[in-house]
Amino acid sequence: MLEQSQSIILVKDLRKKYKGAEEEALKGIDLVVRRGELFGLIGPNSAGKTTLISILCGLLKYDEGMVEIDGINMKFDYKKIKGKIGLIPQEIALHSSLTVKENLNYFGSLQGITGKDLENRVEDCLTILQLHQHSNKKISKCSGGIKRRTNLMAGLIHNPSIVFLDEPTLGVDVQSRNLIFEYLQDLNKLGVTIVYTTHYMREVESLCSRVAIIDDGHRIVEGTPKELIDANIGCFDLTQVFIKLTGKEIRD
Amino acid sequence: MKKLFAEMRKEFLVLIRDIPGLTILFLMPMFLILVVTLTQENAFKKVNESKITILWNDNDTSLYGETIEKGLVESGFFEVIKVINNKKISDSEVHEKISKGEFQIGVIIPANAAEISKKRAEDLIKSSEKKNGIAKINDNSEIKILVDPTVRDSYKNSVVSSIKRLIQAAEFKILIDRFIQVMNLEVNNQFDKKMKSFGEKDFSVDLKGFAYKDEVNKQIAKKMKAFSDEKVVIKIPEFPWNDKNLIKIKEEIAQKAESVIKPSIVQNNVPAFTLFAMFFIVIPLSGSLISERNEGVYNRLRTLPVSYFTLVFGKVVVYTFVCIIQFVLMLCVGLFILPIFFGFPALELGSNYFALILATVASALAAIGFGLLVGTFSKTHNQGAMFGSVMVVILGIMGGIFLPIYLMPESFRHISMLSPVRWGIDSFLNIFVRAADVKVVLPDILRLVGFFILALFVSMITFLKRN
Ligand SMILES: Nc1ncnc2c1ncn2[C@@H]1O[C@H](COP(=O)(O)OP(=O)(O)OP(=O)(O)O)[C@@H](O)[C@H]1O
Ligand SMILES: [Mg+2]
Repeated sequence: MLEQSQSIILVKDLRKKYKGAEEEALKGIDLVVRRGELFGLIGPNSAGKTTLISILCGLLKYDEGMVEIDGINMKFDYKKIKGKIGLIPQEIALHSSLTVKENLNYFGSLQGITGKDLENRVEDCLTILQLHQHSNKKISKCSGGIKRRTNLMAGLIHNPSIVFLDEPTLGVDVQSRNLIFEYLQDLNKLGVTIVYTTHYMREVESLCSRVAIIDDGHRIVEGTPKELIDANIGCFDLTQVFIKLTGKEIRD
Repeated sequence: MKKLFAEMRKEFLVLIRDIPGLTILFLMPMFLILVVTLTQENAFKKVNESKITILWNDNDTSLYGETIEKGLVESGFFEVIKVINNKKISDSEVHEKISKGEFQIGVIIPANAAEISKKRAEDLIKSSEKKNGIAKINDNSEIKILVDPTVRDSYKNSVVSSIKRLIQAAEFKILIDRFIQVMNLEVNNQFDKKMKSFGEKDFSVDLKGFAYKDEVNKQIAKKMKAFSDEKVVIKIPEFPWNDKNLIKIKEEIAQKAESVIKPSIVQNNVPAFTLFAMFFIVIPLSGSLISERNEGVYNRLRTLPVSYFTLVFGKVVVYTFVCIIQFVLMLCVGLFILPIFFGFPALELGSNYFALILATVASALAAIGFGLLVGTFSKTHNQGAMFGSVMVVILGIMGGIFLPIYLMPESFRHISMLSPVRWGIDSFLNIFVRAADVKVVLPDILRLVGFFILALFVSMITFLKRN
């Protein structure tokens, strides 16, 4: 199969039910992400995006189906994925009593980066998202946007080859958002595979080479933005595609 | 009004959905009052009904020891133990068991107690007759009262003084018996002589019991009336009023021969409150764990190529240092602040520094283990801090920080063995007060370290477990 040989992430009929939950959060998801893609995962609140990403990162167990990332079977060898991936979680996963720079140093060190390399890498990270003037502020004293930007860089400090971003632009101003997009596109050009989760349809339209829409634990459709718009007569953008396919409004 | 109800309703819902919070609110105080009352109630009982155990070795087995023993038992305050495991205990066993803290008070009666006390009573009577003061005892025999070095002064003083009083009472009886015998003999001798001068033979008075001089002379005068108008005065020996004991009593702290440490309140309090302080690292440590989990750092950490051991070990090293600093500060209070500013005896560290370091690190590890457990099972900072601090107080009470173990009810003493605080305090007390070596404190140290390993294991499983 051509698809599989190129794929870096392969998900088949993935099912997941949280302990004590009434309904499955994922109800049989199929997904293929190819090496070097900037892949958009879109869906409304509670669609199951975070759940899916957590499984892909090895943080959550799954009940049924198959998940393979870069040849690693996530059912058994999920520990092997550590260090290969970069996760930018939806919540701010930083030490609030440490400064921006201290957080970057900390996570960089845990990734195994040391000495001069670490110093340079932290400097790069601060430069990329223009964090220099905030670098000595404690996270608890930073604005929401600065927290987000630091949260992003903390997951990218080790130059991972696969990156999972869970709504990284929540509460970020337009300039910063553009900065983030530019950086992601640069990374992508260097061959990094990126899975980008959001419920802002417009973001992915310009950013992603391919997208999948998920809703209520199902994958509704998968393809390039253009393919999806073309296939749905009467739709001019992904928002309309989404409304047509799910019958739901999406709230930005 | 509607707004007030809305607020009340919200607050109520928030409250009843916080089950761990409710547990802390309702169950912890109940548990606390139970623990405190159980320990205090017995302290109260000690004075009223429940008895103080005394290890008793009577090497004399004559009336002397029996009288004292009877006095102790009849007082209702004491329980006398002479036999352990169907074997009569020896002097060295009494010493050993008390120095180890298995018992708090022991009494050893010397082998020739009866003989000495009798001789001494006679000496006293004779010397008072001659009015040349109290005769010296040329005998080294003494009654030993042995006391556990960790026993508080107030407790020790009250127990020892009541034992002394009972010994005195018993000796007084011996003295009186002896005196009556002597007096009877003396009076009859003199009376006989007088009677013989009247030509009468075999005339005796029987002075039963102890009588005053006047009484004796009144009786004699009554008898004399039949014979003569002459006033007969008989010289009667003085009772040897004396506040000294017949046999010397020696109060001794049961310690190892080589120990030079003088037990004091400082010696006892420093270990207790050091442990108390150490266990309070539960608040920052559990707080750190809870933050990491709630702020999503946990999830990020789990995607990093770093082992849980590395993560935990970092915390362990830092908090071990924190505990060591706490320990040093407490030592400073004992070594300098209390003696210099408040005139207390200075803390003495004993000579076994290796054991001391071992005990400090082991206690620190146990405290860290406790912090890991609380951090692992608390969901919020509030929970961690509240549960943690109340638990420290409970473990502290159980461990004997506020009320010494020997004042606790028998059954509670066993429960107290479950408190890691107790293991820590015991190992410090063993070093500080009982001059113990590593071998003696090793079981407690192993318990402390074992607790740490267990806690580490539990928190690790929780960290690594995926949902
Ligand atoms: N820890 C949990 N326990 C039980 N149910 C959960 C848990 N986390 C998520 N769920 C449920 O799983 C479903 C999917 O949630 P998920 O967080 O994956 O959605 P999402 O697509 O990331 O939404 P959002 O855009 O709001 O982040 C939801 O119905 C949610 O209620
Ligand atoms: Mg989400």
